Amino acid sequence: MNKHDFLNELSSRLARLPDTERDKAYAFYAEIIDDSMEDGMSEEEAVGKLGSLDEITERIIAEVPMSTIIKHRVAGKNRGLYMVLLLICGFPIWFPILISLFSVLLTLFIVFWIVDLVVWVVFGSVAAAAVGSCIGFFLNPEFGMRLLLLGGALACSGCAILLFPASVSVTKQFALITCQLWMKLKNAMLKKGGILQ
Amino acid sequence: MDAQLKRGVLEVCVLSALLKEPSYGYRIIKSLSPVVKISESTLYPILKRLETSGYLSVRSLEHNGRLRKYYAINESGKDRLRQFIDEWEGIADIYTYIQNEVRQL
Repeated sequence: MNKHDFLNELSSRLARLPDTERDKAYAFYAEIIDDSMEDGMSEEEAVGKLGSLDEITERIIAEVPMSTIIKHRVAGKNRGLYMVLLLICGFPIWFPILISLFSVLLTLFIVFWIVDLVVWVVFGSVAAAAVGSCIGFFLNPEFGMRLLLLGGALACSGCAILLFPASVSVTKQFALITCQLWMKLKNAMLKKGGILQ
Repeated sequence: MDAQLKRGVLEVCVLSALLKEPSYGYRIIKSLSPVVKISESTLYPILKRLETSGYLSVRSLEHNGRLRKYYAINESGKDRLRQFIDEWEGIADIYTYIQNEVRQL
């Protein structure tokens, strides 16, 4: 790929970003290619070492704040009077829909993290039970009870030890998924025909 | 390396590369290459973040009939570097301790 093709492709992939963001990225990569070529690289080499366009665009978009994207998508449209009227008259319809969509998303998000919380609560209670039975083992005068408590303590500590890495990985996975969803939402906002079109 | 940690360290690396004189994208990557390999697609967001955080100022200068962006570190950028050194002094002690313990294995 030569410089021209690369920059054109980059530009078209960033077409949905605000102009300033797109121009900045364009200028940065154009400068890097020019400087590499000045340093003795061929045009193909200079473009080739930049890596895949997928990665480049993803990193650029990841760095643009969501608020900038939304502002741009809402303000960027040249809505005619008709659109404005429709927006105002349609308010009783689209506003509740928007609110409910938002609530559903929020609820899903909360449910998501509550599952994670539950996992940790289970871990916490098992760990607490282990500690409790240990104390009981030392304090209880009756032999039978002490044996029972010892067994309980061992079982609970075993469970707690098994549960800990599981809880950690659940939290990690959820954090990862949240990040990915956020990126997806960003991309959806940038797509043609997205909800704000 | 942990992604979050690496991100922070790279930011500081780029800042230090500007201490001697203002520099531009291609030269920043080149001057850091003996220490750490930064790709162009990594450098771009780092420079943007540093600019937004107010650690550096940007100036376009003409070079061979085209514009080149020069990044210069400012006072708060230097403060950030000093803060980084302070923070890592504590971590360096921990690191040395761990290193010694591991060696004794």
